[in-house]
Amino acid sequence: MVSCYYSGRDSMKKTVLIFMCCLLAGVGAGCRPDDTDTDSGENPDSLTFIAEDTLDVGVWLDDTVTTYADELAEHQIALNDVFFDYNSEDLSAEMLTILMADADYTMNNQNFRLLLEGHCDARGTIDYNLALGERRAQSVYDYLLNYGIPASRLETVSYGKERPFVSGDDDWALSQNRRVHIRVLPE
Amino acid sequence: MKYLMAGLVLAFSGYSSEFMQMTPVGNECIPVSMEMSGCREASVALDQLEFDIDFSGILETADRGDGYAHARCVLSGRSGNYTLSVDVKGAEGEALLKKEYSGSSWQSLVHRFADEFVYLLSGEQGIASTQVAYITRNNGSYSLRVRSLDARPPQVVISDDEVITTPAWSPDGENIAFTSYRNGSGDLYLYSFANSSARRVVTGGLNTSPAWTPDSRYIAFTRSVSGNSDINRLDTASGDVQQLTARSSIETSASFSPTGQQMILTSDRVGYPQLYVMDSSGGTAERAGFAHGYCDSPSWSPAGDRIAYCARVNGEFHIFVMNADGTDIRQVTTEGTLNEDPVWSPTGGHLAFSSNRDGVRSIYLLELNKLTVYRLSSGTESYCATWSPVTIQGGIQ
Repeated sequence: MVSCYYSGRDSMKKTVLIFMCCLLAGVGAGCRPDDTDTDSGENPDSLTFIAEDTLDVGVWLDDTVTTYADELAEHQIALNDVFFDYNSEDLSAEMLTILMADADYTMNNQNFRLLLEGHCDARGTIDYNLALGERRAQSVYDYLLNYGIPASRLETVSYGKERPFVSGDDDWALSQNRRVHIRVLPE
Repeated sequence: MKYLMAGLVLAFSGYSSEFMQMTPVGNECIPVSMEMSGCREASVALDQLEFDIDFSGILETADRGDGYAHARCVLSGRSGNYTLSVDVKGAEGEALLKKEYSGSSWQSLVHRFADEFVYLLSGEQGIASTQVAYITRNNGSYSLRVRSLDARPPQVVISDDEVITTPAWSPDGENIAFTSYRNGSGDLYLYSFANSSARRVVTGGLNTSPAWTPDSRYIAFTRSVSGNSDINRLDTASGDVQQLTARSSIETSASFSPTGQQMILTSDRVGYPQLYVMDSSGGTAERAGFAHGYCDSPSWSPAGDRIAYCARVNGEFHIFVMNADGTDIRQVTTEGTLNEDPVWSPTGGHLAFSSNRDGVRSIYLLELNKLTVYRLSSGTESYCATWSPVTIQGGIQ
């Protein structure tokens, strides 16, 4: 669902809609908007921020650091990320093998969900890489879904090249960033 | 401003491996001279004024006696409270402008005078008082910053440990649209300078790359859901979102023409990203260029006559400018391996872009009349520039 808010502050503006929004208090990666949530007036989100006196500085509330229960940490270690060729969202034979092992593990351990993060290397433009990361995440999502993992246990997100794993522009660093990172979330 | 063919012809060797270089527009600049006395900042203020004049691409600094006008300036005051008095006389000694500017920052006063000096002699709008916003990334922390065209430190507008990206300053100067991953995926926010706060305007899926219509009412943006990316349009007045493209290919990176009637966008419907022009209401998109194997990030010039964009050349990424009809393609950058996200200044005489030519990605401004380059950001990795309009509601004062 898409929701949009507009706050008219100028009397000349015709539309005067004021929706108060409150920021969903994040508790790290474990707290993500439920897919079934619809944004309505009762579940508002806004930004609270801290403005220092002398500067107009907006600072977002800090996330609570996620501390995984030991068991979830074990799951995270057991699952391997999937890597891609440049400009591609195709899963190679080698990657399919890895993914099959991940899928198998996920079927046999039920107390977590997966967030599939699509990432790209630093080459290529910001805009296109955001979309390519989305495609990569979707590739992995489709595979896991077809394997039999319920959609309720899967989520996708793309970071494009905005949040790289490895800095550097040598081939190895670039290859490390062309991935779908499989992140364990509490159920 | 149309640019002239300077008569340089490069030999083409093979398929699209070499392009004609961008040449300076080469318009004659109006020479002016200036002097500054007064408090102890007068010396650096004179440096700033000379830079503002030269970077305008319209006037240029000259020795006393060689210019069409001479500005005698006096800067008085101290930190937080300055007055700049100017007395501009023409070559025959005729009085042209006598004025005082007051404010808390001498840089702002110098910028205001520089723009007025440019307008006085040329009738054209200067950009010395404009500002550029951009994203920084440092050790997993992201920020949206606004910087004036001087050495004053940037103002940090938003900072976060979650990704902030693709900012776009509204043409009326009142808001910056941007994407934040605060709530798990990319939501579109509007930062309001008047309110000093940001509110979410689009959620659901990944919403990025906002682009404003000239009247600051609509925002085209890219919505990525279930592996597919399409252009959508938000009406900031009503809150309605309309989908403008519906293809299984990637459609992204929209930029409106100055009338708002058309947009240029990136699509990989032929297998790799290329530029397409489409009516702003949607419909058939026509391909806008055939010279590159990979193009993205188009930006339509304020006069509507040119498109700046980023293309891959021999494995590197460089800025190009072409006419809006796809002709006369010029390569703007040659240094570095990753030059991207070109945006025009509000008068169309400058480009801002990011480049890794000095190591870490930074924001550079390019003046097109003489091809002077000015590095705007320093230190921290900086990218995704967006330029303010000539009159700014907020930002640094």
